[in-house]
Amino acid sequence: MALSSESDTELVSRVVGGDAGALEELYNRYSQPVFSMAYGILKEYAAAEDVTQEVFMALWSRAARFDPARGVFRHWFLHLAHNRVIDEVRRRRRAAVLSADKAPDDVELGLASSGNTADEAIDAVLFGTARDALMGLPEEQRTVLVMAYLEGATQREIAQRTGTPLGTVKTRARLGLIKLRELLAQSPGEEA
Amino acid sequence: MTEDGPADAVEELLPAYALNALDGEDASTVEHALEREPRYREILERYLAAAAHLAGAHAAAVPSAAVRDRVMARVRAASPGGGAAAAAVRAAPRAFWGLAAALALALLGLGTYSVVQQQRLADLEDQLQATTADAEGKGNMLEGIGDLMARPGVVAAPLSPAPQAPGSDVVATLSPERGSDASGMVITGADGESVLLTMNLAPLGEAETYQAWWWDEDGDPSHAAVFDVDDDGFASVPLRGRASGMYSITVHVARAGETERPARRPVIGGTIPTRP
Repeated sequence: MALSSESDTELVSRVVGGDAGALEELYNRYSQPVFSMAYGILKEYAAAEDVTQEVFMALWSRAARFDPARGVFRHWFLHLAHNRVIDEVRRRRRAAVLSADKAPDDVELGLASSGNTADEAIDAVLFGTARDALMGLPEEQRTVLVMAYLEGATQREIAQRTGTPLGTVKTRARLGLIKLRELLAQSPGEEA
Repeated sequence: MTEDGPADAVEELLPAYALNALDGEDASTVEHALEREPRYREILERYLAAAAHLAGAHAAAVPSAAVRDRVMARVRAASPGGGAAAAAVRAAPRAFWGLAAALALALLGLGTYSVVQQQRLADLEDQLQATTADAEGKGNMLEGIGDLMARPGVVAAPLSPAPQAPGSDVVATLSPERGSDASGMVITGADGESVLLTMNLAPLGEAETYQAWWWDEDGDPSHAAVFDVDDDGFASVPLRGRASGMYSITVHVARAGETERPARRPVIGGTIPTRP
């Protein structure tokens, strides 16, 4: 069977077995969304390429961790990719702390330092029905999702920066993702 | 996944875990719990599905071919017998794609080409055969382009340094005296999905990228892609949105983060043919 007609799960099992061709087929399928996400968040082409490369090397070494009985490959892999992108965001933030000789609390997160609102951050990098669904969330939920997803803030950092109790941040993250999924399920052509 | 409160402390951490918003200790707590309790994985999967939609909502951008080359070279070097395998990585993938794109461009305009240009087409075919003889997957890419263009309903739009877009004060016709040999082509399949091929676009510095924009008949732009080119000025870019209903497409140089509308004159562009 041609690799291009195999499912993601079948290809991943081949990658576990050391099949470089299967990895290349997964690269064909996912390099664009991975790179688009990396570029959208990092805003630097070279850095986005570096992260994309590392994401697929991570897939090569960690493919055995994917369990098809527990979820969809696309969800698992994009989560892994986002994790690598956010690692780079946080690495840059730590570097900024060191170079500015400031305490970590004094290095502003993206929204605070740029003066942008969460809505402006969304408009700058997101498109389509997912963007529209995000804009359909209550502002406090949207802010938590944006600070986490686009800015790489931990929930503790979000709580500190917004002056919100940690428990409230957790609730807003949970309700925000639930609502996002509901809104996307209502969008034609979207798989929620 | 309902609006009812989480059942326990681990379940309470799962949304933030899906967003990669946990510090190291909390993330480890979740990962250990996921190994122990299948129900946590089921709950997490629903949050991951929502987060995956965010991941797919960014403007279309394509890495250069060099990224694939580096990944596959590292993979093959790490594989059993990887030394020999690494050496067998395709000899000239970018040169192949450049020639394949040139052939595709020539094939499109074949009906109006002069005898000289048809000879050029024959030369390209010879070069492609010579190049693919040493490359992996020889013929597959060329067959892919040929097959694509032979399918019913496929439409192709050639792009040149003479962009046309109504109602836009950004677009201007570039003088032929500039000597730009940049060109491109948009291939739209019967399903409405489109790919942009470019040739001889100048590679850019780190702070700049190329952006492609659709223009409708009212002169309003919509974002089609962000991309970079390889050393040969070649790129193969899937486009966001559909050519149907659009008047033209242009390619511009942009600085990182410039995504609202084109800020500079286009480097290539062309009108979108309507389907018969």
